[in-house]
Amino acid sequence: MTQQAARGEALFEARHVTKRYGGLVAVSDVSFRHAEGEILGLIGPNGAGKTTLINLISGTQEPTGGTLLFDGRPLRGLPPFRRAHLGIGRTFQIMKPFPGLSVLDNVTAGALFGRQPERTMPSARDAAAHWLEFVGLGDKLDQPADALGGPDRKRLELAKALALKPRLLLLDEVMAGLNAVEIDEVVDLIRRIRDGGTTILVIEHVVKAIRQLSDRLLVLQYGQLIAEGTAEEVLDDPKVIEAYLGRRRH
Amino acid sequence: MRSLAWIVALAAVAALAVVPFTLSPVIVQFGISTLLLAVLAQGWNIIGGFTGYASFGNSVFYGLGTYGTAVAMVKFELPFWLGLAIGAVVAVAFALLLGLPVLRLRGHYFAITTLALSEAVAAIIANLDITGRNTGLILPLIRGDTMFYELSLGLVVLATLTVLWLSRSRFGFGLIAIREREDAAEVMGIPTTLYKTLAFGLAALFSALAGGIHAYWITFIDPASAFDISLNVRMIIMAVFGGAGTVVGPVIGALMLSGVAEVLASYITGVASLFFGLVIIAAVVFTPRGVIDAVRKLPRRGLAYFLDTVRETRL
Amino acid sequence: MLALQVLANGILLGGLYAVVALGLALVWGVLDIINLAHGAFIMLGGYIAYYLFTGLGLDPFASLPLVMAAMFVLGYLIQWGLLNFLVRAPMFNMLLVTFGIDVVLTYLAQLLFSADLRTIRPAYAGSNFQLLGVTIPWANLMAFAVAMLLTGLLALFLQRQRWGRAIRATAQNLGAARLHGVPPRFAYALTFGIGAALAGGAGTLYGVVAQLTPYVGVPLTAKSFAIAIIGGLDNPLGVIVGGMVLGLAEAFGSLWLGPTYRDAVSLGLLVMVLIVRPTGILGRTA
Repeated sequence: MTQQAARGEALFEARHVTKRYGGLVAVSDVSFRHAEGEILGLIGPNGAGKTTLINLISGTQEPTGGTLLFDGRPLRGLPPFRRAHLGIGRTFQIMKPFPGLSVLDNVTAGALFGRQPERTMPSARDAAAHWLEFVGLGDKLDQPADALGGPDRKRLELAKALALKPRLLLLDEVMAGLNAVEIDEVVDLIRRIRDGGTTILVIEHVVKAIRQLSDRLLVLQYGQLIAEGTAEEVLDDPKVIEAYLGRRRH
Repeated sequence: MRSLAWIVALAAVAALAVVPFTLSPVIVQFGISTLLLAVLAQGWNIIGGFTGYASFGNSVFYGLGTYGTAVAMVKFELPFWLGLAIGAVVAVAFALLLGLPVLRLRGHYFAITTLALSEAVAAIIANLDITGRNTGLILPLIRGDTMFYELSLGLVVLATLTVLWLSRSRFGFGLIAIREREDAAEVMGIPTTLYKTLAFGLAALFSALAGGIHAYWITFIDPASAFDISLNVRMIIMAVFGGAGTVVGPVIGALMLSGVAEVLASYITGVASLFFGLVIIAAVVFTPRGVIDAVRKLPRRGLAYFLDTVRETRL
Repeated sequence: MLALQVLANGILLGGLYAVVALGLALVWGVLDIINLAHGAFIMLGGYIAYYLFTGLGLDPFASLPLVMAAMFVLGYLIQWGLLNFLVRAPMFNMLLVTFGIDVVLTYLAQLLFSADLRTIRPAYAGSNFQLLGVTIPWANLMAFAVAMLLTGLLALFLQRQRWGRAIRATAQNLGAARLHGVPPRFAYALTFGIGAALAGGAGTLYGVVAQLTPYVGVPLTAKSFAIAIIGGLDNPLGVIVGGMVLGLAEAFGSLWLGPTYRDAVSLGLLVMVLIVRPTGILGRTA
């Protein structure tokens, strides 16, 4: 753990978090702190438990053991919608737009029900339009959400999460399937989001991007935290290299 | 809503309101039945059309409203208005209490549970003394279909205005999001359990009021007619035929389907149910999204609309 | 001893219930189609057997294969010609269409067969035998045996035969069905046809042990739901469990609470199962 992280205020903290399904252990005794304003990267081979961890933080699932603290308060027992009100927003790896609604309406939901929600429908729609502009979908507001192509769907997911005005944003592989240009655009977007004051946890397989973005990196394998530190420290760690043996990607 | 739409709506309501003063008593009676069915269709629209929980047992609320009103008036000799209120309270309480476990189920399981619940309550009521067991209850007689007609019309208007409010409000938006994708709705801050249960309670409210009015009008109730399962299918087919999730669709569906069934029944006796079955089949195959949707899109797409629909839903 | 008699009645009833629910459970579990006309299929099967008996003197247990074949064709055509067009529509559309079919079939039955009660009464219909002080009607016992046989045959078919495995694959996804060399439209029609055939068979048995009217359809459909849910849709043998549970619950419920509470008992049971364990007794927990 670097000095920086140890000193900074932890917006979010995981303490000995475990998630078990019957005999299978998805997340095992994971502890870390996430400072406010920090971009924390989370990497690891497939099946390492990264998405499960995000599910535990967003409230979609409850841990079998351990504690999750947001702004000092424990999250246990709080349903997902309450966590959204507190300011935890997330994207889904398997994207989940509201299929029958327009792009604008999809994001309006977040503006209406998130943290510091808009009070009227028109102002919520305006806020939604603003976020859609921000992610680059400003010209597609009235299209049906299920008509969007892959990269645009990811932008939509992002806009939906942003409309919640999250303090902690959990990004689950937003760059999968994007080309180099699109990846750079998303990296830039994420940086701007952090500059706006949001703390971000990024799960990513695209090593180049994660190296550029992350202030610190966490590495998960078989549900356990096997390394933690800056990108340079972690990516040179022999344990990490071994975990990824034969599967390095750009 | 555009002012033209408002004017048309007001004209329609006014036209309907003067029916008892201009048309025959038979039509007035038909009108009462149809309007009450329209209320049921709107009630279903709230939980099924907007929230996406296709209840197959809203008849339980209708039945509870029927019996609540009847028992209040017959056994406790309370006035009609109080009876109506009691019926409504019983039904809404039932919806809120049982909604919590039942709304955790999805799709088919939810549909069947509501159906089973309706049958179970009917079976229980058929065994209680206070409700007159299987013989039923006879309510005090009051003459004057006009009052019941205007009351039913008023309830339809109230239900439709409520659905209009839903279509524009934050609450209604939340319900639609739940329908579209419940787990995504929850992480976006929508209190899904609370909203679903409230929608269920709202549906219960209107269904119960319709039941209470019907009870007093018809003066005789028994478990079989109060908890009639075919009501469920009728209210759903009317809502879906007119347009589930729209504001006026269910009312239009109710008026159209009842109207045609009535006309046919007067020409060929006994065939009403056959017709009904065939209409359901045809409507579901060709206009699965409802008449309102068809009316909106037919002018532009013509017959291609039907072909597209079939192509979208076929295996 | 009364309890033993009630137990025997419950078991025999349970076996009959199992085959009654079998067709519905198959179609629901595999195709995710809830056939609200299932009871009407049962009713039709019963009437076909009735007329084969009174017209041609065919013993109902002998005409069973014929009835099932006829109902298979009906079911196949309905799926092929109508239901296949709605498979990807919202769920309640399918419920409404099958309800419409139920209404039409009930009306036609009323028209053709009249509303009189009918029973299939072969020579052995009234005779019983005694076992441990319990009276067991022969007809009921034979119906029970056939019911178990049909259920077992279906389970085997789904496990072993090519078509059976293709049907199970279809339950997983359509692409898998294609891999087995069975076009989905055919797999669907075949499955629905089998469901109708099973309903027809159940109807024949029902006609022997109970009374037929055009209106027996809806309550039988409702019972079939309850059984399918209680037993669980994942396992074809679940209907046996579900049927037994319901049969015994009704038998003992009648004994303890009185016959008028019979429906309340089975429905109450259904509601409880749905709330506590929606996947059923033999179902895999979601």
